[in-house]
Amino acid sequence: MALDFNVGKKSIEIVAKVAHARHCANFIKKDEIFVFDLEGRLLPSKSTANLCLGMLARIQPALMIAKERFEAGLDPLPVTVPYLDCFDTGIDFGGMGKVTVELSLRDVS
Amino acid sequence: MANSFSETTHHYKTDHLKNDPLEELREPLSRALDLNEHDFNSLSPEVKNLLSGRRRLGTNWLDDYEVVAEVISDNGCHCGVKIGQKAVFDMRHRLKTELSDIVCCMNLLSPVLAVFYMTFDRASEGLNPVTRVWTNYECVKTQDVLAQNKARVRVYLRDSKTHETVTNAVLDNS
Repeated sequence: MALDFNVGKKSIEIVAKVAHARHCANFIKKDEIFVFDLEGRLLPSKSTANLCLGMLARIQPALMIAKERFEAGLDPLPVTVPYLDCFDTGIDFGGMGKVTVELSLRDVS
Repeated sequence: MANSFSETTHHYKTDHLKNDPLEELREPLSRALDLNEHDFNSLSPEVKNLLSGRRRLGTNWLDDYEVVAEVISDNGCHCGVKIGQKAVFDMRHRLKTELSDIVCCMNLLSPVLAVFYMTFDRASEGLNPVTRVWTNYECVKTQDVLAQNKARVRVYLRDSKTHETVTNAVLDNS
């Protein structure tokens, strides 16, 4: 379904859906979601994943980009940043777990 | 040839946990995080140090404390963030929504992640997990007055049961 970007900001939400999770110490699992509005605010009641700041902080720059693009009348999500991964470097690189999310848009209604 | 991660700990000449298999953690951690024997045996010195915090602050230290980010400035903020609102995190840096009343603006909360990079490091040394230096964080948006007006939070540690602020410099009970 194509979204109408001429609608108000409140009509669109950004969804970060977990595409992959491995050894996550915060027990984030595949297909769980984080939901944000276009002002860059997390919407906890609409999110199903544990609200790990190590993942959320990684998404924040994309939220700024999305707002900027929306104000310019563009598709809020840039095609160059479809996936974002958390700050934990993972077990093979000195960390523990690794979570990757895929960004998408959805109509609030 | 590059050294393996287990051979490269840059901050300490000696890996104090090199011969410590963290046996008490092997079974529960492996089960919880889906680690096989190879995974557990190949944990980096950094992660072993992270896990060793329980030796200094007690087995349940991750549950005994909470980190609070309380809004101390809201000038120029248009996201609904107001002075006095709080974001409460567990020590695994998960937002506890049931205890938080802050508007969850990621432009303000994202910088707080830095606190949690320090908590595990400080815990492994037996210190109060929350830094006494980097306690104030601010919105990443510069706004239109060259960063004078911003939402800001002050971060502190509190007891998760009593909600009393914990200011002791050293919490080591080993």
